[in-house]
Amino acid sequence: MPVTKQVVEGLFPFHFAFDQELRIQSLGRGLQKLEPTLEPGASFLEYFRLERPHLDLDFDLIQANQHFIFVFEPTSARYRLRGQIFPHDSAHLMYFLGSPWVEDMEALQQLGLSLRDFPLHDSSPDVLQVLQAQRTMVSDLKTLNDKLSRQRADLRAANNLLVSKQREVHRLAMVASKTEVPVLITDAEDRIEWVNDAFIRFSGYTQQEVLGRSAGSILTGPETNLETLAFIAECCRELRAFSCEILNYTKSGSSYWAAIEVSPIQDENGNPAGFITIQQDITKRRRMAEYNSLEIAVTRLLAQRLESSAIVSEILSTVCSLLGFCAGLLWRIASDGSHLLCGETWSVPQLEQSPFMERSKAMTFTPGLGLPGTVWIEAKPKWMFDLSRETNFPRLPSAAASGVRSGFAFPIQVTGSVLGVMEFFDFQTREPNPQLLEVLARIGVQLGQFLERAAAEAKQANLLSVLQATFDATADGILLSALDQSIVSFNQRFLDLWQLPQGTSKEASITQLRTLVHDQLSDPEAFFSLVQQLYANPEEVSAEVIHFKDGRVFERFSQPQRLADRIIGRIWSYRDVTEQWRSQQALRESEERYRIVAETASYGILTVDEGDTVVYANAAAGRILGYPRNSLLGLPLDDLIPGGVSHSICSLQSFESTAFHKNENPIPVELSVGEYQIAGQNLVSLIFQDVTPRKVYERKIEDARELAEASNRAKSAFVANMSHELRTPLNAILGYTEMVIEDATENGHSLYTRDLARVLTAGRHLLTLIDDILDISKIEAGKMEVHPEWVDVESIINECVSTLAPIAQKNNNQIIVKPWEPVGQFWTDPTRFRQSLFNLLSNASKFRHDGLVELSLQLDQQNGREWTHWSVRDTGRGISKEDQSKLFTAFTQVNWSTSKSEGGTGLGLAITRSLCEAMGGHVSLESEPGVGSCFTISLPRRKPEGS
Amino acid sequence: MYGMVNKALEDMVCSAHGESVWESIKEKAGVDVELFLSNEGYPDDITYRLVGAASEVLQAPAPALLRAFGVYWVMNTAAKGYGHLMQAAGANLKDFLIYLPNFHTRVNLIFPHLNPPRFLCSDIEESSLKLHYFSDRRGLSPFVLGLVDGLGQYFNTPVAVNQESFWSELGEHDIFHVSWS
Repeated sequence: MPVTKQVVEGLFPFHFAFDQELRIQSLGRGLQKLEPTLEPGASFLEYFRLERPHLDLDFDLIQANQHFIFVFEPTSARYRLRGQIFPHDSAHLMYFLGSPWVEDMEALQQLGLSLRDFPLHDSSPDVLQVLQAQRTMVSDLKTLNDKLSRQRADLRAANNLLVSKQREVHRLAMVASKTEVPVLITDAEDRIEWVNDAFIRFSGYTQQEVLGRSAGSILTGPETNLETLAFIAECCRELRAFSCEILNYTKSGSSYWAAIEVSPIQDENGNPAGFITIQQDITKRRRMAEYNSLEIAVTRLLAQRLESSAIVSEILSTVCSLLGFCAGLLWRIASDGSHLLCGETWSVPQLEQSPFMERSKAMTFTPGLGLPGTVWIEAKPKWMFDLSRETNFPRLPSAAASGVRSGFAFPIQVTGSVLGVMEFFDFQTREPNPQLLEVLARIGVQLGQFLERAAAEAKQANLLSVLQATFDATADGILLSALDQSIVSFNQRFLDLWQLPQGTSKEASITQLRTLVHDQLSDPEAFFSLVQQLYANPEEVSAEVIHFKDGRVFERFSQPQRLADRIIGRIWSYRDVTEQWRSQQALRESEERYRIVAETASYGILTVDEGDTVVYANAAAGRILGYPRNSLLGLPLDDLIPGGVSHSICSLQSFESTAFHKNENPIPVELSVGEYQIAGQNLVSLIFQDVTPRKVYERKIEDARELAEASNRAKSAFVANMSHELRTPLNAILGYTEMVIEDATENGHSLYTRDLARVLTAGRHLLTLIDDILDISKIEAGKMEVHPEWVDVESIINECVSTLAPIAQKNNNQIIVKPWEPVGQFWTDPTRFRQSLFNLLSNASKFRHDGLVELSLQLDQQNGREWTHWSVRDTGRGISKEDQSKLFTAFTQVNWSTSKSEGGTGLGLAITRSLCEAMGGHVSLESEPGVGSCFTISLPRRKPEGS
Repeated sequence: MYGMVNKALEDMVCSAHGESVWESIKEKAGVDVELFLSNEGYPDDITYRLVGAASEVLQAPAPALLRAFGVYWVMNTAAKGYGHLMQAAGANLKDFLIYLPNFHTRVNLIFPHLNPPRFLCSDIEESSLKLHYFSDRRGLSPFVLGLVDGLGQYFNTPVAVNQESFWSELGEHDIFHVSWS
């Protein structure tokens, strides 16, 4: 069958036919899709390049090599055409029968082709599908390879892990047997199956002793925490790993803290087979943790604001509780530093009334004695492991009786100085623990610092209290302000002084205060201006006087308030000096007055300093001394009034001296000298008066006095002489009269007897009068003498009473002598005593009628001497106070009418007083008008010693 | 059965339910194949056991599971793994279905021992045709329904497919009426 163009077209849609000139004669529809511009007539060399075989594109050569597979590549190089050359029936044409060579569907799609563009016989789509299947297969293989690789990696990792585990097990086995960490393995019932050497060494048990025994039964002890044991039991029941810390015990009974890690063990079938336990000794860490807790607890206690005694008690309790001690004591140094005294204590209840605690509280320790004394003197901690072995523990008997077996002490000190000693005791012997001692030594230092600080704070509090009390009690009003002028504080006195409302608070602004005080001030502008100036100059110190409108005057002192070297505010101190101000004002006025007085005085006034140099002179001084007043200043006092008169200070008494006028004439002066100080300087003022006129007058007086005295002496001599001259004839008259009376009586010349008796009476009266005058003359002349001797007073009394009896009877008076104890003799002048007593009894009997005259005697002691008091009491009219002062004056009688009627010279009481005084006594009077009078003669009873 | 079928089933289960579910399905099906090779032939029994186990594990009827699998096959396995091939096989649903017999003929030529199914189109109309499905395997007609559903989605063409006759009735093959709009 001829191959028609249609057949070729149907079977080979990508064919093309070309002629000898290599021009396209026809092409398939598929090729037309690939090369849309290719048309018959075109040279296919413009579109295609022959890739295979390697021939020149020559029609004949192509024809000659048609047994090759021909591969053309278009100029676009997007694809390749694969096929063969087939000659057309006509020798001048040849076909290229082929199809695009694509390796995957994506390329086919990119060429714009589909499977339907290929003829069914063409295996190109099948190739594509095979390739796709291959790619899928490769992808699957890659996936499989990756999965296998991962599995292999997993297996390798698992293998490595297994190897690692095996090595770890091996190492663990090695470690478990050789390590210092105790390890034990127990079965599911807690029975020990295996322990390592470290466990044997640590616990003290042998393998044989522990194998098969319960781990809990041999490791736990009395102080093992029950909650921990319960936790362990729960974990073991649940077959889970756990770790915890527990207090274990060795075979010897010593406790130790252990951190245990417990892991369950499974057998080869995964069934629980037991536990492996790794134990680590953490005693040291636990103890250090306990010690740290102790230090923290103590530090917290010390940080509390409690009394030092309470703090110490808390510390004793805390140390004992945390460390398991049974008792703690603080020893304080006695105030004289000679011994230690028991201070605060703490003990477990069973020790509170124990002999040991009682003994400790009663004891004192000198340096070096016992545990506290040793720690005191050595200033370092001391541990007594076993008290029974100690030679320096005086409390051993009481400790033994109370079960106390060990103890230690440490000093409470600050900067090397021991303030006290703290002791702790245990019921057990306890090995020395250096770490604990270090901790407690630090606590001792802390406590020492605390006690020192507490003492300082107490001192400071006391000081603050004093300062606050002073602040509150001071008479000054005090205001404290900050630099920003805000109020910091003020005292009550401040409010009072400034008359501020009582409710004024310290939060009030300074502006409020200024408003309140503004109207009180005389010059508020100046006041506030200065205040502002002081605030502007914080360093400035100020003192000034503030005047108020109402007359008050304040002193204000202001200075900066410093804290260290820093100024933090200002202190204002106000003092009410109104009275002082007024006093000063008065003083100034007084000074002015005295200055005027001094300047206008007729007395000369000179003031000299310690060198006797005139520093002041008034006008009168210049006038008296003849100097211009100012010329006196600076002159030596000796030039003016010689004789060192400035040293003749006699308070308030003047004396006479001689001054010298400028013209050197002497001037008699009367001067007084006063010494005083002004501003620390000793000054002497002399006030003097020119007494020249007075001297002249005094001369005249003196002359007159001398004349009068001469006259008086002459008078006394005359009186004495006259008395003698009168007494002699009068005695003769009386004597002869008595004789005549006796003769007349014997001879019965009674007619003359009464007249003669009158003569005798008048003569005796005259004699008495002359005696009185003589006595008063002696007294005035100072010639009265007394002659004391031991006298029997009874006879004198009787004599006086009997002598006066007629006179008393005449006036119907009765003389009564009150009986007294016999006094025997006493030392006096009998004549003058009789005369004095007679005068009193006589006056009492003469100057009244119908009354009683009572004589009495009292004895007493005065100033170590015995006195006799002879009292004459009458019931007369009494004497007024006014008359009593005149009564003892010579020539004075109260009632002259009485004197005339009753007689008397008015000299009796004056003589009596003088006589009594001459005898060393005195006479006194008590009288009440209308009631009567009582005159008393008081005389010493005994002779004065040494006389 | 192509390994790619089992592999596609694995991908569908794993993407929706996770690998552990797939391992459960495999364990339940008694299939101890670590990895299915796409173009490698596996006993049909494996596929049936996997589908049965998946139905149990996922608690879904096997027909529904197979139809869903058909959709998944087209939209994931075919479109992603053989997308260009599918595109080259036809620009639309109708062309693709018409070319489907040739497609499987080529597969059969390439992998003659796999015994792939055969397809034939008849009564080709503008918007419908009848798809004849010839296979020695039984019970996979729901899978063919799912395939047609998936092709409709792939070519963005609403499609309706009904099985008009069943192998048991006809005694020879299944016939599906496919229509699109």
